[in-house]
Amino acid sequence: MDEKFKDDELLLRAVWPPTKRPDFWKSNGKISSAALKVKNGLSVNRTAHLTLEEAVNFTASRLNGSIVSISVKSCSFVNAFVKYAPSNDNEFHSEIYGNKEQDALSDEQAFVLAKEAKLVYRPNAEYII
Amino acid sequence: MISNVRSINEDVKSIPQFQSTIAKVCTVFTLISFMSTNCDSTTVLTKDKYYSSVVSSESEVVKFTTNTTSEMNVYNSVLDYKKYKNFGTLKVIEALQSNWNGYGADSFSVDLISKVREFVVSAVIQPDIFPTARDSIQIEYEKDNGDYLEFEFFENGEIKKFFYGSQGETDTQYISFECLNGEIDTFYGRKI
Repeated sequence: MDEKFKDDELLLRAVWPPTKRPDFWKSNGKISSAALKVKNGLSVNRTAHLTLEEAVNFTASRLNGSIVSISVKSCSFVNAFVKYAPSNDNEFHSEIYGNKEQDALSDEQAFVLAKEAKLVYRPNAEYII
Repeated sequence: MISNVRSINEDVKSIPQFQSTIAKVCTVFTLISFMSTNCDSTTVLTKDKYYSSVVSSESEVVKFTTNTTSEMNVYNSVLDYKKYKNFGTLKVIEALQSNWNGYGADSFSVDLISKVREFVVSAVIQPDIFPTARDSIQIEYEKDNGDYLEFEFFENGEIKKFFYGSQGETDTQYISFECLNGEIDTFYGRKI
């Protein structure tokens, strides 16, 4: 798989839905930036050559919760660094860092990406997009 | 409390009446509490093994229970719904186990929970509260115009403020616990 990302490629992250506590969802339907704050790289699954539905199915089969998508373009907008990091059991695994030095996302980056994130899957429901 | 009792003699005369009045008040209060306990609510916020909260949309009386393995506590509060909702959120965060987010996040210490709870008790305006996967609890405020303010309480005792203005201006700095309410007042343009 190509290590480079296209701007229109999506990155999928599982987030607990508001029906399960604790939730990351704000009253305006967006996720809190808290959902994207981690110690190192933010683990996501890239869509790569899959359709969004196929990528969501793959992610949902491994992780609980709702699934949001973050575009590679959004990451570029906040100067975040997206790294392709496949594992033995997940060829789509990737990570989002705050910079090429692989520091964690900053508060501002997490805030903007959370605003840009789109809900694409809700458990026990059809695809949102 | 009885008032306008002018003499001991009048006090003596009024005691039985006072007792009767108190008894009536207690009866009414008990009855209301009982009915509130047993009435179906119009809105169930959440219900899980950690806590349940039931809100009556008419009276905004919040009854909040926390279930532990050994006891059940019941809190009643009129009007301070958001504060008790936040107490519930902290209770849930406190109970989180390792890998609570599916990506390996750690659980939270009692000290951190206590610190955030202390803030909730004293906050001039109640925030939204969210856990993070980097050993912190984040509290947030957001205005309709897009201005955003957050305080991130870390396990090491530090508190970091992040402000994002509607015009894209930002401010990040570490602040003390004592300055939090002042920051909130400034954010909302409140007079201290």
